[in-house]
Amino acid sequence: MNKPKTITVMQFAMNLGTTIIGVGLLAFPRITAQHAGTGAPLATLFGVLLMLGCALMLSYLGHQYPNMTLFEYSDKLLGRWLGRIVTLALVLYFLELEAMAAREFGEVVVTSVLQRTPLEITILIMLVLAATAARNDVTVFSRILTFYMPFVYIPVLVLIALTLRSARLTNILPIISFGYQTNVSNYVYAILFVACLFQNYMITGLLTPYMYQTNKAWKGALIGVVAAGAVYLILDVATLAVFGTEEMKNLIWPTLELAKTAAIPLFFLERLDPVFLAVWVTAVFTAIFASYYFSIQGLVHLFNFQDHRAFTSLLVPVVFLAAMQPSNIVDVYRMVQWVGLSGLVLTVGIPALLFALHFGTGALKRKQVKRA
Amino acid sequence: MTLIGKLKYRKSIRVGDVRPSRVQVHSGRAHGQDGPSAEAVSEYRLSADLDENLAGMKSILGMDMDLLIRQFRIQINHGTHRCALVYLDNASSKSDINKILASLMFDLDKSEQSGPTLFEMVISQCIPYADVSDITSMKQAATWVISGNSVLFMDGVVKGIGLCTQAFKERAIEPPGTEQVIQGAREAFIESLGTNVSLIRRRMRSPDLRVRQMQIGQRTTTNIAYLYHANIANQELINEVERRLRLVETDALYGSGYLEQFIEDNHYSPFPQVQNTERPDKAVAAMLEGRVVILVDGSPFALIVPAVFSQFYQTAEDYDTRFHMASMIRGIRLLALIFSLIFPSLYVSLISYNPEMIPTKFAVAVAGGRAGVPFPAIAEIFGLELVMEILREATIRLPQQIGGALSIVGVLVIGEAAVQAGFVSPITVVIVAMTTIGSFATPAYNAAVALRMLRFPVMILAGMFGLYGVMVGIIFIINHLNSLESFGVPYLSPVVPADASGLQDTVIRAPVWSMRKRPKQLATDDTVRVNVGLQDLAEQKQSPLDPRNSQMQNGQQPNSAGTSAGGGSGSQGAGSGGSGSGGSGRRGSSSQGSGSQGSSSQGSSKGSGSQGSSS
Repeated sequence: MNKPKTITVMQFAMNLGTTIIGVGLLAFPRITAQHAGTGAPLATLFGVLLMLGCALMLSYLGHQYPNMTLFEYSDKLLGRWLGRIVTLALVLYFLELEAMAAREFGEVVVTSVLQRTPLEITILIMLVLAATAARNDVTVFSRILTFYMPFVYIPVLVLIALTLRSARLTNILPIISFGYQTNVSNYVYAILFVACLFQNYMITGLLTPYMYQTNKAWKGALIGVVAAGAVYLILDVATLAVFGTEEMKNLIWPTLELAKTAAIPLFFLERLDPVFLAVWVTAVFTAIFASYYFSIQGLVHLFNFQDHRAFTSLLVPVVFLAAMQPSNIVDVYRMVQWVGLSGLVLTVGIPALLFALHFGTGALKRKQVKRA
Repeated sequence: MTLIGKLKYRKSIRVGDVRPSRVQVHSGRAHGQDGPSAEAVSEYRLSADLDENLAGMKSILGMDMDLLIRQFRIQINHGTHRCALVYLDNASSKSDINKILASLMFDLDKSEQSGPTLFEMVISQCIPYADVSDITSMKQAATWVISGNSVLFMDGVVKGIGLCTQAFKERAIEPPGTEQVIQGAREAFIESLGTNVSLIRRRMRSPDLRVRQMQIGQRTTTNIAYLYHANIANQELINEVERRLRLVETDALYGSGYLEQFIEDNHYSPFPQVQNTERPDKAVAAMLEGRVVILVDGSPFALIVPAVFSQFYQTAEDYDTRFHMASMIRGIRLLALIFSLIFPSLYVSLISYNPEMIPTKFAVAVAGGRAGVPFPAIAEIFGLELVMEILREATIRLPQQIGGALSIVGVLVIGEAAVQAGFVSPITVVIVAMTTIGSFATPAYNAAVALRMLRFPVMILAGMFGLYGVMVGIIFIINHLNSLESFGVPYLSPVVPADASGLQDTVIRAPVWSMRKRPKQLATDDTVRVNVGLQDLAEQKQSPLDPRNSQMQNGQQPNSAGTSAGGGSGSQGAGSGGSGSGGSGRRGSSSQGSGSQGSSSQGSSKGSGSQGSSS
């Protein structure tokens, strides 16, 4: 089936950059600081590089199969049944990812803004928002993600510009923290946790067949992942520089605390954190929307449906129940970390596997050609 | 009932018969592709007997009060023939009819006529009139008459002569009521299709302007026309416009807004996906961008398709003013548009959910103002917005003489009294007033209405969830906007998907010389809009009156660059700048045809004289 070509390289880059930044933005400086101490920024960098490699692999595969989505070429490379299992695993995983993101954000909202609103409502609103948006086709999906790019990026940069005055250089040193603050396993844990934040890069597999120039998909992936990585890195450095490792371990959402320290002198508004939180709703929305859309497209492929719209409302209760599983906020973060890390098996393993298979089968074919 | 219903004449009217010459004719599917069908013609054929024809006309047109039949005799070549002119009173021009009658009744017997038949003689020699056509069937005659034209029947002739005497009453061309500008043209469309087409023709004197006509409405048979520039508009777009117009099968067409609801893409969206304008200059500009303009007879609003969101905060004036100003004003309009959507919601969420954001002193003032107010902020502002809507509606409906008085009474007295009575806080009044003013700053009325309406659900969300709710509402609206398309053009283009040439004309209006390409999303056939860049403009300009200019002595005249605005003009300008006499000699020869030394030296002496006077 031929797919309409509507996505430019720049749009693809913006989509990746927007969708990667999600609710993890708020808590990840704490988790990386817990495990890597002042080495957190460096760990973030390594995490970014790891996922950049995966994104490049996927965009390379997208170019090799220019008319196929990730699900389609995994069917082709792995065979029908194995491909289906992989697709199903990805679908379930991304639904869980969406549930966790919605829950995490629900906790943020209920804790910091709407103390008296039930958690269920805030989660449900987010899910309904994603479900209604998911009724559109891939072209519109990409357009929506593109539109929110500035809403995701500009607040982060503004926030850092506003809080830089309370930064202390001593807080981020030493950059390499092995030996006295952390050990290798903790450090690797921090790297992998940062990598978890990037799992939405998998939409690459969904978007490449709709691109005008798949041969430049790698450029888009590079720009998108690096831009998102830069935001995470800058934010990690900034929170660390303002709070220091020990203080950070006490803050559930260091980024939100950072927003609380932000103030524009002589400005009308006295506190800015509600504004940042409000604008970040878009970031959370884009991430949730992307993972939801990814799973829905996977399901459509799995059941060979013509229209994906039936799934959009059907899956809302499923995701909602999944989101309500953790009993409290501590449980939420335990689960977020556990789900994220185990998910890396899928989100790093599958591209690597497909990549290897692509070359393997290619080499096999060349061998056969040589023999014949 | 009249015979018209039985005839189902819409199926057999040849559209071209109604308005023969001024606009190119295009027949719609609903109105029969190939003229009157053979059966219909045989059934309602005209007869050679005048009385029979007249009786037929009377039965079809049902002896209406305004149906007039003027019977008279003409004398041609010493023979007398009975004739009758059928027309509708008040729909056709009396003076035209008088002229025709005069030419037929007085002038004929004075000269010898020649011709094979009476019909030929009359049509070719006796009627000094521009728009004439053959009438071959009864139905055609009826259609002709009900469109305000007249039909001449002659005894013994099986045909009629249709005379285009149509003169429906129309008002004069007036300044636009809704799209006023400070600088710029003051003409607006009126209700007459023909006049509107002529207003457009006057502004686009191009042989490639295409005016295609069709008729919509089975009962009203309203004439509509769609116009485009043949070299610019994408052929696929034109085909699609035609296809959608043909799909409209309706009883009546009341106006362009009615038609709009049939041809738009998303029928459930609150946002207009078709732009309407009453300004001919705007319609022409749209056509030159590659859009299609649809005119509906009886409606002073032209439809422009495809429409994107950014068109709704742009005005025709933006292109008449300097680009800095235009960009700033556009930015302000967009801000006003956003204000009209979220301002009350922001207020509600700040007051009810995030009072910590408000500076302490101001918070005290706000709390003081709200001290006696019995309602929560959301109820207060919701009620006041509702009152504002009522007021706005009332001012439109009221006669103009008391409309102004009422708005003053409403805004000042009711607002003041409500604050005094403790119903609302003063700051709420300010917020509501700003919202209302914001929605008035939007040039496109229909887009402003959409956002005006949507601010109520956003307000409710703000009342329930504060800033989070506002954000959810905005995301919802933006997602919807992103999913909209108008004739395949994404609604938020050229912002998303981004297009460099289109982005020059969104919030920021780039200088006119820099907008060299037409908007890409319209996939126009001819892409180049401006053929000269800043560099060309700068290089070819000269300052002839500048005293520092030594070239002045050599007879440079102010318009020397203008005369040579072609391709190699830059080099010529440079040449004449560098060396004096050679350049001026060439100029002299080109302007006067024979380039003798004497004439060129004359030119130079004149030039030096003028320099002396200027310095």
